Amino acid sequence: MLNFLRHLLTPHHTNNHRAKILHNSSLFLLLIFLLLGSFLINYFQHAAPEVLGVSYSISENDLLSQVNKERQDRGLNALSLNSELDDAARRKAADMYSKNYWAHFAPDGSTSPWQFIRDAGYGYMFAGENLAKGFTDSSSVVTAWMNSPSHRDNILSDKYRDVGFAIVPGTLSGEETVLVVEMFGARQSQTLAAVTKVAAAAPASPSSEIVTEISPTPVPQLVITKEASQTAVITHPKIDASVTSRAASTVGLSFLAFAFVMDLLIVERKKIPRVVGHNLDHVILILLFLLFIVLRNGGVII
Amino acid sequence: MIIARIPHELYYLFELLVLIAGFYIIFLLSSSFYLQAGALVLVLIFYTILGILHHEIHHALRRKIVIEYILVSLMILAVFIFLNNHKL
Repeated sequence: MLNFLRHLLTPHHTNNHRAKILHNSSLFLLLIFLLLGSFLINYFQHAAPEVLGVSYSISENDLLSQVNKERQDRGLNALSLNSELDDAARRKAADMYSKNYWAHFAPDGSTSPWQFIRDAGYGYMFAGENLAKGFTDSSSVVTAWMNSPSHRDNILSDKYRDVGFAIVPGTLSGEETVLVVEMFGARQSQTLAAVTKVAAAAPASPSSEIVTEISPTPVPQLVITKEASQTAVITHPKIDASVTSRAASTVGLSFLAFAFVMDLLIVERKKIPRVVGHNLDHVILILLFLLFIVLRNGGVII
Repeated sequence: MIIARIPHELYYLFELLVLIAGFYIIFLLSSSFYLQAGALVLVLIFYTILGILHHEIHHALRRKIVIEYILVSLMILAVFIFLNNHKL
């Protein structure tokens, strides 16, 4: 066993002074193995998602409690879950999927966040929107929003009274993902009441943030039938494909980088002449890619 | 030839800086798997060409070295696809 590992990982006369795993034939086999593994994982994800798939745990309740915890930790009032803003968020998610875009405003200019809020029957004085996609759990979504100044401003704004969420899985630009839409709002009546209470308060002004708007005119409230609600995406396959592939890639690449470093050090020490590529090139590439794997969080916000 | 007098350290530094910039751009493109994959392919093409040029200028370039750079690049691309399998 020890001899095999030495043959595999270190330069030796048995492997022509080049770790066997670093021979072109071995690299080619590893490549085939990776491509085959990708194909099989992809196949089983679709054939047996309850066994192999991505584990999701995003729910409206978790998002609401975490957003309100952030607010209450700073002495702000808790936001109330509003069914009309829920509906607006669902309409927004459906619009992004149907028109295949990922933005606050549809690229063709046909829709805006405010239109969805109005269409859902919420007559707002202030409104805002946060978007997220590709996250697998509620706390990652809220953490990402809190780490972004503009999204954080929305979450911690004292203008808002209500909030609504939509958590919708689907395919966007060819990628399977889960969209999270968060709509904030305050009705005109709520805002006026707050202003009356604080007589000396400065007049409310709109935020300069693109995802926040003050209503130009009061909007009459409409009653719209609530569509089938989507308040959580929770899946727990036996094997989490995302975590497993990440762990396997990290271990495999670390193993390869280690072999390149060992090979470089031993050959440099023994001054063995060889015709091979620069190990340092490969080590730099693999280590930077490993850093990329570690730093990527899988989700994005706008 | 001036390029042949460039020390190895500068070559590695240049490679490191370009790869850091490349991976940073790939990181920024995280909203789209396909854009990220495209950027990664460009970074890997740069890596392969630079490695081959370095050997051509400073050492004896052999076919097996060219194949080695291509295989390492393809392996990184395969790992990237492996990582993002659930999105496809």
